[in-house]
Amino acid sequence: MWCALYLCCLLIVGCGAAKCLVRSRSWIEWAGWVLCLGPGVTGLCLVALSILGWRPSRLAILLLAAFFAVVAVVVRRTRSQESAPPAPPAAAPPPKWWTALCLIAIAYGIFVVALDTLVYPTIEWDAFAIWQLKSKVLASQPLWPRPAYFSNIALSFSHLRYPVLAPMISAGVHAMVGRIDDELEKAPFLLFYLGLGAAVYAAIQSRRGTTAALSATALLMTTPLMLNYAGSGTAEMALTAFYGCSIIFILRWQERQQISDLIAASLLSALMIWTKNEGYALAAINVLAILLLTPHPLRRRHLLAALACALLIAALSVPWIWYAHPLPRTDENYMDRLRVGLMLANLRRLPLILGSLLTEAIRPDHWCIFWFLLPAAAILNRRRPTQRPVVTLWILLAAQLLAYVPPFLVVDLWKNVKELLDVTTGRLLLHATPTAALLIGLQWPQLPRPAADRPAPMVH
Amino acid sequence: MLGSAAVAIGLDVHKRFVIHQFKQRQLGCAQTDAMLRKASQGRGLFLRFSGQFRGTWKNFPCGAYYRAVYLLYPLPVLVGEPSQLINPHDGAEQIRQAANFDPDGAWLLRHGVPRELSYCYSDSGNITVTMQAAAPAPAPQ
Repeated sequence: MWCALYLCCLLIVGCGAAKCLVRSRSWIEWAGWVLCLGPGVTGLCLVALSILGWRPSRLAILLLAAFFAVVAVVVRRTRSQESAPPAPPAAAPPPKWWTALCLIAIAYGIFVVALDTLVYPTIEWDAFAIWQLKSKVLASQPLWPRPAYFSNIALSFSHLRYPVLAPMISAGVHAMVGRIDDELEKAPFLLFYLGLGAAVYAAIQSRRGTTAALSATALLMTTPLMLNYAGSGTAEMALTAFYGCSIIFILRWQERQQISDLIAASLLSALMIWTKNEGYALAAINVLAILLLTPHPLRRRHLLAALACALLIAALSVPWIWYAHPLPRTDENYMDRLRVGLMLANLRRLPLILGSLLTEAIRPDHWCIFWFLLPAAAILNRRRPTQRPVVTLWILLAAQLLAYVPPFLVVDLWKNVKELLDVTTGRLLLHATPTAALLIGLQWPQLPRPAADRPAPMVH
Repeated sequence: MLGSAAVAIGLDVHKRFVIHQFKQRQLGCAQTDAMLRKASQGRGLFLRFSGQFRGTWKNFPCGAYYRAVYLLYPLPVLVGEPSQLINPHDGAEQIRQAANFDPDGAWLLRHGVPRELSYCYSDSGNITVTMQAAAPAPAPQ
């Protein structure tokens, strides 16, 4: 019961945050933002309180939810609703059987992720050794004064310097339930899975129609590795959801130039940094995308927008950088080793790294043909005029995959780089699945709507 | 596209509900958890690993140590000196080297790990488990 109440609190916080930041064009889009922002903003607030000396507690969570509920009500009364967008031109609705099959696939995904998060205990190695161990630490003690855990090198296997947002979201479960609960600690990650699906669906549906949206969402939510990691209790699902939503807001910024979209993208980028170290690279890519991929990148307004985005991300991230700086550096220290000289000296690893990424992408037990559909959709879409969102997504996907290469060039502590590649490339590609799903959806071949069903042209 | 989703779901159904891969892992974890809780009895735990863990048991010492730390937190769990570094890329080797460390009862009591759980891997592939409480050093005569 307390866990259910905690999930409701996360949704209330998400409502408040989404009301402040964005205007949604459909209820599914709205649900996506609420489900992804709720746990993220709650986690960040609990981290802030913890750094100030208060460990997560039931009272703090309820007060947070109450605060954001008031915010949601106040903003609702003072802001008008955004009108629904026009339907995509000449997009045929999907056949009923296609819709049914897609919904069955999505329903299966929700079922197994719900089983993993709500019924089964934490059994994934990284989940219990790293993320959920940290959640117990954070539930037991505030971040200030620094708990002994963070300087205990016998616990270095849990990556003492990894960011703490995902564990703090789980720590909220422990706090709400009133005890350390090994089975329910993963419950909030179900919201990320649902939210990512809703956000990707809405983003494609508004641009390409329901068939493309349903199909791409069903593909995204049923890839084997997504089903494996979504409810496992690691931070992968959180990072994937934050990144997916951030690039949707970047696409919105490109189309509408609304400051609210920029703020949302910046907040999500900061949440990525608080979630995993890969977040630094992804946030940097987002800032560059905002700077360079807008319609008029050199206009003063857009330069200032990119600068404001970078400053907001930095402001939200600095507390973690400050907190983590003195912690023991007993595991991989990519940041200090990312030097051009070192990368050039290890360039001979490049074929191995690229080969591993490619081998991973074609693994049928991890991806089926998900990554094959990407070039297939591009080929089928080749005759359509170039679209800015599609080009942006291709650039973001390429940038993300390239950004993951330098750490493997400079890694030192692993005896065998191949061993590290084997255990990490799957998860790195998982982070890129929202971008790929959006690309598949936005390049989905469209059957024209029968002439009798098309709306009549306006006559002036 | 439908084929991809169908195969993905088929693979997952097979893994979860036909060969019960997840259930086997859960049972394995549940057995290890039960052993750890029984050994700990609500107190700190010292883990000993002896023998050359091989084959499918190669990573067992790592897994057992990590699982013990997670399960029993905030109770202390040690495999060696508290200052023994156990990091993610070398943990198996570091735990193997820690097997040479043989503290007495007084040391265990001093470091808050009065309970011991020993896993001994034999050449035939069997693992013998023993648990005991640390005995304090006899008082000097």
